[in-house]
Amino acid sequence: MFINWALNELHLKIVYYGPGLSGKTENLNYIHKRIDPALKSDLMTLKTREDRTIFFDFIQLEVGRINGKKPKFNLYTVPGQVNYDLTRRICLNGVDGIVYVADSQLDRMKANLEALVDLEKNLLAYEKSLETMPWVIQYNKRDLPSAAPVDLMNSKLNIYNVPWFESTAVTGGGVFATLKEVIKETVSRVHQDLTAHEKATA
Amino acid sequence: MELYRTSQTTHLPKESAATVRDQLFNLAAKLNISAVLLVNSAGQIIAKHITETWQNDAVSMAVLSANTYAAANEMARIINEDNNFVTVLHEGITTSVLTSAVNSGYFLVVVFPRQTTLGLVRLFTKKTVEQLGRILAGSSGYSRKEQSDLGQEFQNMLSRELDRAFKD
Repeated sequence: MFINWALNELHLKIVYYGPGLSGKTENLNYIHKRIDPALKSDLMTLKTREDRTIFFDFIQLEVGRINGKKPKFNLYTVPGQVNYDLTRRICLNGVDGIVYVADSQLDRMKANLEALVDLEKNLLAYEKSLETMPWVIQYNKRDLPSAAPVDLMNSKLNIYNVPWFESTAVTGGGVFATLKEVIKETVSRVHQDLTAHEKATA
Repeated sequence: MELYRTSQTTHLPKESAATVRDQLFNLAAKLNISAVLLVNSAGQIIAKHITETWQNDAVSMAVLSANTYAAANEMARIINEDNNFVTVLHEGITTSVLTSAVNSGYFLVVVFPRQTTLGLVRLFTKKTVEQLGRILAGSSGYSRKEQSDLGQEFQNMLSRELDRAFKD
């Protein structure tokens, strides 16, 4: 997080991570469609001709002033395809909170697990870990008949018992609930971090 | 040389903000340039001096610059350039962008027109980068009051604002 005390602005970076075609970009598309234009930037998407994310998608959101402070949320998605590992790592630089978007289809469980391992590996490059940083899981594509039971998804993916949400991002179900929770988790963690630092340096 | 930092959060103290902005203003005035941004590696704007036409594009520029600069430095690593690239130039027909490292995790983005000589841009940007490095290294911390401002009351109000703004 970056805090500009002169302007009283708080900047949070949230990254949507997950295997290819799990619905990361769909989340941002829905958010961009629904948010008041006064509260959002343009949606930036860097895509291939086949409409696959090649570098990242980005949108900045804000809410009104709270106790004089203006929170701003920078949302990114990463490319999910396997060969874009380095790009995913770059996008994680400075991340404050993560939404892990899992594909609920049963035959995508292996891809979900591989992407989760990939995420942890890339976080370690920044001396961070899923064990300690704020993140939530979104089980997307719940509308599909091949969607695995949530209990199974949780048992395989929710290794740290973080908040989780069911979603159908194409129609928006669960998208805002996920976003609100990751923001709350992240701000709470930042406050804990600041408090701990204050005690350590007192 | 870093902004004051807890383990996960970077702060720009009030006393540093004005001097940083002055540096950007002076650079822009010397070179007659469209925009100059001080950006962190997360793509967040630390400070900026921009003309009116750039108001809507500064955020995008910062995000793209940060990720492009990081990508360029991965290239540096691949070609065994031990240090990151000090500057990265995107040269256009009418407008160009020069990105320069300030210190670890921060860089300056300068957008300038064809009429402005690249050599002068490099020269004055280098001086500004050195000044910014000194200013940011001398920044002090934040107060206890500022730390408590993100406590439970703030979080409760944030929760209500999120419910108001982010709804189906």
